[in-house]
Amino acid sequence: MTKPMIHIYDCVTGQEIVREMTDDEYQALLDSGLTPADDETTDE
Amino acid sequence: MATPPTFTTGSVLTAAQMNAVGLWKIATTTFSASTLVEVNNCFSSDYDNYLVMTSFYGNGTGAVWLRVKTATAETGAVYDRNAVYWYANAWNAFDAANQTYLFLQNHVSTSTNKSAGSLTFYNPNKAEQTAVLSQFSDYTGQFMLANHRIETTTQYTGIQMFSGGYTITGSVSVYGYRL
Repeated sequence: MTKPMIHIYDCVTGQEIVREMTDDEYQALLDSGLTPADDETTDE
Repeated sequence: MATPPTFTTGSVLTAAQMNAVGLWKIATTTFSASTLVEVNNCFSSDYDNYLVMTSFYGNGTGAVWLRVKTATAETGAVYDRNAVYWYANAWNAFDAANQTYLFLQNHVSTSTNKSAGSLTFYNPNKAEQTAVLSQFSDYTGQFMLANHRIETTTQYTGIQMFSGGYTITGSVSVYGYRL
């Protein structure tokens, strides 16, 4: 399974980082309540 | 002397002219097939208010959320929302309080039908509540107008956008408003 990718841009340095998210980072996002089930609009 | 924004070839711009520029592009970044997009150090003491413009599509139909952050981490900010959503030929109330994120926008999977948004952040880098006024055109037939209030008074320096379940491809730009 392809791991989620994170794209980071720093406005001061102009540095751009694209890498796979770590398991801890992805789990932290899921734990924060952001899941596909949060699509709370009337979109179908 | 040329008056901005009308410049002539070879004209030398003075500090006074440049300091009179009202909206300054801080950064644009483009991303591809990303689950999480972070723009760091876009909010600072340089400006009080900011414009954030988004444009993207996904590899499926889904939603994207936004959170403010400091230099090192997302902060657990508290978000309130008063909004109306145009869907199925009707306005729908879309309010929510004490959220852990700011609902950004929906997207479809067509690169020629991108989801587009503009958000104005008021005082995100000050130790006071941040107001965010936004409008989003998700795609044909969906549109949202929203007032977001970030209750917490942390001095934020950046944003992160998170896609739930799908990856997103597009761009985000940040501009600073001079008072």
